[in-house]
Amino acid sequence: MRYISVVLFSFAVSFSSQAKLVVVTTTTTLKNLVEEVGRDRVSVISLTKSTQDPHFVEAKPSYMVKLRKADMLVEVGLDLEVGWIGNVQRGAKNPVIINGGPGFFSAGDYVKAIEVPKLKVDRSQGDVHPYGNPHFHLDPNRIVTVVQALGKKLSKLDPASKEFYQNNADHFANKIKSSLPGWHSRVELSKVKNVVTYHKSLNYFLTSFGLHSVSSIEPHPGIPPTAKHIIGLIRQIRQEKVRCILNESYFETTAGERLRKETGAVLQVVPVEVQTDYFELIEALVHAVEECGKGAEGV
Amino acid sequence: MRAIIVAVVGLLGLSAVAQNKINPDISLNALFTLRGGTEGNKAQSEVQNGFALQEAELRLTSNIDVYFRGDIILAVENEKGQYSVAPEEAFVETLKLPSMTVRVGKFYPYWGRSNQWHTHAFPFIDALQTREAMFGEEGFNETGLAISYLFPTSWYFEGVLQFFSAENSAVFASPGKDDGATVYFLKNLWDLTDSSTVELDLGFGEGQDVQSMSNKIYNAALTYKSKLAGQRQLLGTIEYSSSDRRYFEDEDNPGTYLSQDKLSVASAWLQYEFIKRWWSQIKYEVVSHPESNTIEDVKISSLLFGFVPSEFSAIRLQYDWIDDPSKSDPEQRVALQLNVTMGAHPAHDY
Repeated sequence: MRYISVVLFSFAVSFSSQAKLVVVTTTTTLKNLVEEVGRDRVSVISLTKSTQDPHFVEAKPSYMVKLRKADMLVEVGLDLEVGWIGNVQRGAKNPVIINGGPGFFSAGDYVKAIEVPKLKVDRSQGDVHPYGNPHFHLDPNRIVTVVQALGKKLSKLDPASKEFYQNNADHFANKIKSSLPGWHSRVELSKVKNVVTYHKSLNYFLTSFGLHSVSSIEPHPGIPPTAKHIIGLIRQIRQEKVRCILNESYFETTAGERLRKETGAVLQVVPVEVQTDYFELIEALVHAVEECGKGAEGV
Repeated sequence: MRAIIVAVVGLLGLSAVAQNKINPDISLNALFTLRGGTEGNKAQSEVQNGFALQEAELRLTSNIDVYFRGDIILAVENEKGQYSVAPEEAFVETLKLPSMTVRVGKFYPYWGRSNQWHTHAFPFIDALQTREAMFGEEGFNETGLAISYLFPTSWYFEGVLQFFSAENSAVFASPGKDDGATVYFLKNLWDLTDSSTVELDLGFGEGQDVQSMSNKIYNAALTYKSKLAGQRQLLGTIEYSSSDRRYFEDEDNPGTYLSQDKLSVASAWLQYEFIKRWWSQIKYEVVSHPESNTIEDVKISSLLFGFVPSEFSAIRLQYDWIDDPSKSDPEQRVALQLNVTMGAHPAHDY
């Protein structure tokens, strides 16, 4: 009898030590970061695709199915997913991943946000985020902080692998730190200073790399451009000698194309979320700035 | 003294911030209409011509503690110019039960495709007949308990068991509180592709009312939803509801009834976002009494164009053709609606 108990216990321990943590993320970027830290000890699903605007996602019941047995939910936070994630969390009927649950992780809790409104906000200003700009994932320095926090969170859920997660988070942080000087010097060499974007999704990237956001194609966050706004923007691009229009890939490019034709600035359609890995995402943005520099030398 | 004032002001500021963070989400929906119709100037008409505040709805939503979440919706309703405030829904539901949610209070039961929608979320300006003809103007709204369970299947499969006091005047109107109604609901949703889904809802309910010995309601709804290029959408739904009331059970033949009243309602509608933020919609509904030789079918056709500048406002223009054989001529209606939402309104269900 004692022998059987020992065998059963050993089986249970070996089973639990092999079981992967099931992690669901709201974006592909967060999926990649969890994979960097958790490697083969996590199974990660992203609810959205890299081409989807995470502001406007419908709370599809199939997302609830994915979260039903999840050990962890990782969201961007700062109200980015406020329009849909609450319904998905409740609909999944999984108390582990609701806000305050042991498996809930909001990356925004670990970063200092930019563009936090100082005065009262209302919707006449568009889709303003009261807790600040939530697109911090495009700042590699801030992402290091998030990855370190993810390492700690995964360690809490799976204490036996604490060292493994911590080492992976440190490895990722070191890789970012060693990549930064190269990225910075390439942006500097491009001589691009002023940039127009479609939405404010790229502002952390711009700030981090010493670039200046002159204006957005959207007149207000979440509001499509009007003819009047585009005419004003054409004038501003000419006056401020803007060479670079970065149009986030999940937004339409008609207005961006018109700006390119009217002003001669270079239009680059850029990814906002990870398609393969985080380094490729930042690489794509740096490359787009370089292309702006090459293509608009006469502007 | 100055330091004390600064400290007090600072504390007040902090307390206001803290209060803002812990306050329930508060939102207000308001629907303003301008109507014109061939019957709209008659006193007995359901809808009157002219400007009106169709409805306003105040909603407070919050987690109560780590175990429960609460939702209260107060509606300001306009009944031919007379305004009244009534609790439309007031319920509490669990947060901590695995695979299960228990809801207690007054609420729109899980039933069909459209029953849980509030007026501002109706696909057309007025309620669908699967709701209004079946359950009356207020829709199917009861006080009781719902237990929903998410089955461990690869697709979304939710089953809901509901018990109510059977107060709805159109179908239950039970004389005694202990004469409850039981309502069963199944919701299935499959992802056909990354951008399209199909949903099948099935419902059955049974209760008693003051007259009938047996009162049964049925519902089936099929919905197709697709995201199109350019962030546009296409939605189509077919919904069927029916009620079956049987009176005076034959004592010599148990299970057979001397009188029967059946009502069948079918609604089909299509919503197409032809340009981002611009919608065109059509609807066709039939209300029939299959057992009656005297009451003929009522048929309603509707056409709607809508402009939705943001998630928080919409302007819609609707035309209805109502063919009711009990009236000499078909009724025609035109309505223009402004639909606005202020504050932190919870996201609508998919």
